[in-house]
Amino acid sequence: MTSAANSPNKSGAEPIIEVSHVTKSFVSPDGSPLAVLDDISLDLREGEIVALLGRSGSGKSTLLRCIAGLIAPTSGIVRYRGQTLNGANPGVAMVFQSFALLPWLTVRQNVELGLEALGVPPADRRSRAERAIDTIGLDGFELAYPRELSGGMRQRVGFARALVVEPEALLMDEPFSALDVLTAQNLRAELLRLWQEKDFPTKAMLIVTHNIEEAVLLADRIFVLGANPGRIRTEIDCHLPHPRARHDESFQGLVDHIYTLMTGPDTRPPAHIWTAAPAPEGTPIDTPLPQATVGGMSGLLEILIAHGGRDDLPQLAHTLTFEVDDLLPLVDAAQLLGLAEVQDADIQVAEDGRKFVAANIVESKMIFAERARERAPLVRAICQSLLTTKDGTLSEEFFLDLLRRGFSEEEAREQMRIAIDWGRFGELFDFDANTGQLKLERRDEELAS
Amino acid sequence: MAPVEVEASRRGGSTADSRFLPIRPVLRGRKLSWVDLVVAVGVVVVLYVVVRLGRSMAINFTPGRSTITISTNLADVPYYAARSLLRMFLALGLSFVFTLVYGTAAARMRRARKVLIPVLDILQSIPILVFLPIALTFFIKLFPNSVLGLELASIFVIFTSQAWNMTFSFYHSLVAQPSELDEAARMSRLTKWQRFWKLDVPSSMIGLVWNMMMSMGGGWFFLTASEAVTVFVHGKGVPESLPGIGSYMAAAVAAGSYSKVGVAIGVMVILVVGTNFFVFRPLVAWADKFRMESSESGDPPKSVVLNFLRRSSIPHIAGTAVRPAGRALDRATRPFGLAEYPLHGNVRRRRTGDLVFWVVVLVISAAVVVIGVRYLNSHLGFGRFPELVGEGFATFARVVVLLVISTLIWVPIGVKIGMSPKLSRYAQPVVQVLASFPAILLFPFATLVFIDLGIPLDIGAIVLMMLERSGTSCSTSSPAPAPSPTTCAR
Repeated sequence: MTSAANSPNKSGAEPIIEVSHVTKSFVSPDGSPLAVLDDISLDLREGEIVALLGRSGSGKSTLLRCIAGLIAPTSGIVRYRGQTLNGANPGVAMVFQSFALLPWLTVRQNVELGLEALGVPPADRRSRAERAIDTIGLDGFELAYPRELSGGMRQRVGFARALVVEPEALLMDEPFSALDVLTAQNLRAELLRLWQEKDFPTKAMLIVTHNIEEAVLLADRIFVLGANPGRIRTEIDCHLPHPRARHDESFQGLVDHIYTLMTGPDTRPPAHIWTAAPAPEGTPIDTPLPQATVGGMSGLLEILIAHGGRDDLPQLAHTLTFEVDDLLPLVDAAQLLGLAEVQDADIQVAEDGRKFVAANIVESKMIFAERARERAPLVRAICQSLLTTKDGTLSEEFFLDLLRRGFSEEEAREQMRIAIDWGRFGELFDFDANTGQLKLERRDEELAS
Repeated sequence: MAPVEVEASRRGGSTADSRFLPIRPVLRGRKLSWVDLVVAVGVVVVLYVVVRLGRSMAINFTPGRSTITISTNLADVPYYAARSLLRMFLALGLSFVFTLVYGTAAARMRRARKVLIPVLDILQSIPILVFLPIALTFFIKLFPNSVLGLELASIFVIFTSQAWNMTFSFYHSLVAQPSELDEAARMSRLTKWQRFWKLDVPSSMIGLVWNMMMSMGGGWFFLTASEAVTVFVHGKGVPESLPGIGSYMAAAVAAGSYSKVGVAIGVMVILVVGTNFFVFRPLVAWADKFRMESSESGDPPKSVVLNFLRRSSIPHIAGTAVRPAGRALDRATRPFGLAEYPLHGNVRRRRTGDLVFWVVVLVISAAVVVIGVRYLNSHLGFGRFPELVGEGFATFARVVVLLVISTLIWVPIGVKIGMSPKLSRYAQPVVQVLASFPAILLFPFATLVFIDLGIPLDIGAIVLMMLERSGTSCSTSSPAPAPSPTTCAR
């Protein structure tokens, strides 16, 4: 627990946790390693709130678990106060997205659990738990069971359980994302209020989130993570005074800036990931299909057209009360298919997008089919493979095997699901779930020729 | 019983309990009420009976010199019933402890799992009567001049009919534990014991309770068999019977008194229904608090007995009394360390450990095979093998036919019951009784009927096997109102 060995860093504050050159890969089903985190280095210093901001697939939760000492990095080191972790990080407590309370213990028993583990005597335990429960606003609910509480109250128990052991650093894994908007806002504000109190024993907080506004509201430093594999794209300092107002110009400016970053090209040196429009030679592995349905895409385009064909992404997300994880896949998909263009944090409907929305169902299916076959690498690969076979059918397994080289089992299945959804809408091919066979849809003109 | 300290509300009218018992705060302030009196008397009576029965379990007995006589006197029936019941519960307790130890070892020890799970799989498929001669020899040697040897052998045999499905259930609960609870436990730095007692056991509780119920049903099946033991004296088998309802039944059949067989069957039904009412129904209702789903269940299982106990302050007093013991246990197990494992293991040491482990396993397995082959050769001779294989196939054919017929009959019924909440509320208790009812008792009657009708016993055997199994399969296939993860290995 001594910090004597630490050298002061650039900001002068002591680092509590240092992450250096951490990579993490899992073994994919065919035995090849699948990178989830790639060369991550960061530190958490005394007196700051740090946010890890990224979209799904950026490995942010995996990174948090490495920092918590729950899983071992494949290479690289995580240190707590200079000590390399070899087990659960002794200086941190964690708040979980799913609350992770024990349903058979009352609120008080849940809160006391960590103290019990530390061997705190019963009387002391009781009073410390009471204090934590009071602080977090759970007064009167000591004897309730978690299933009797609302989501917001449950997460308060999660916070009380984490804070009662007075950890040096508090780790939070999307703590507010399972709550409704107002409850989340309320709880965030209370957390900040606690943080600003002088005798708050926790010296640093690290929050994982996919919500840009949340990151800007809370954090002093924001690490924006890129996906596939997860890596740090940018580190942003954020020194707005608390409490931060959403409608403040500097606040909005920062949010816009981050939106631009997250929708913009991912500039990793050897990257061949698509930019504004995808390179037609992208492969199904390096250009994964965004998790978007055709209906979602056309909904987005219709709203955009109603807004005059162009809108600011944060603004759009705000109007729709969407979060970045909900909105960005739709934006990505529209962009991938060339139905919309994104510049900075603005999105604009492309010419084809207008045609797609305005056309009748048959025509819009045609437009979509053409775009998907040209620009969505997986859809294109499926169509071409099916054309090469005699009867125009192929097993889904064939494509899954190929996808497993670059994706985990789950991701591979998700990619196929999206491709089949798109292919069906465009009447490019159909899928028989019983036999697991993909079948080319022959168009009339093709049959005639 | 409670794996978690019974934190009864000190303050009146807790949110948690008031939904069960709105009157509790009123009673709480008072001194002992009549409810407490009833509960206290019940506890004392049970303890007294157990002590008295326990004493008669250890009377003098020397194989070959004395015999145990089973009377067919109706007045002795309650005593025999109590003896059988005690035996069953002791076996169930043993199964429970075995389950916790074996299941934890299999789930938490990487190397041990590789051996423990296959061994368990083999054990559960061996017919239990195979264990009886081995157990008898062992326990009689252990207690040469007491009936306790026979008694323990019998308990052991019942145990072998109860333990395996419970162990599988526990093991599967541990392996399928939600990862966020595992992470929360590790972040909270729980000790090994705390992890076991606060997370592992409670999270497996519902499955365990349901499987205990199944096991108890299984135990009833083998009651008669487990109470009729053959003691070897100077290489000669001498049949002996342990006092119990199963032996009583056998004695009544031998004496040709069908009215007494009827009484015995009646008592058996009372025992099955009674254990359900006084033990398993309350356990199921109590275990509902260990449900993982975070919402209130629509129709939580209820128990009159449990509600009665909750109205009494005696469980609370008992809880307070054992709490210091719980704390002492917590302290005593602290040196075993945290429920955590090193992230970076020493690869070379791990590989060496693996190697040593597998060499030891291989040597032991080889030794077992050699000893087994020698034993078979000297006692049986390999010449009889073709004949035995043929008989094995005949049995297998019967089992397949019975499986098909049972499925055809019971799956539609199970689906029907499961689809209708109303029907399942009524059907459940009936099915439970049927499932626990020892169909073996019907064998003598059924055999007589087959002979009368001229049906060959080869075919009759299928019907008998179906009788034995169908009740259980129906009770597993009908989804209970409460989630019943009956990882039923039976």
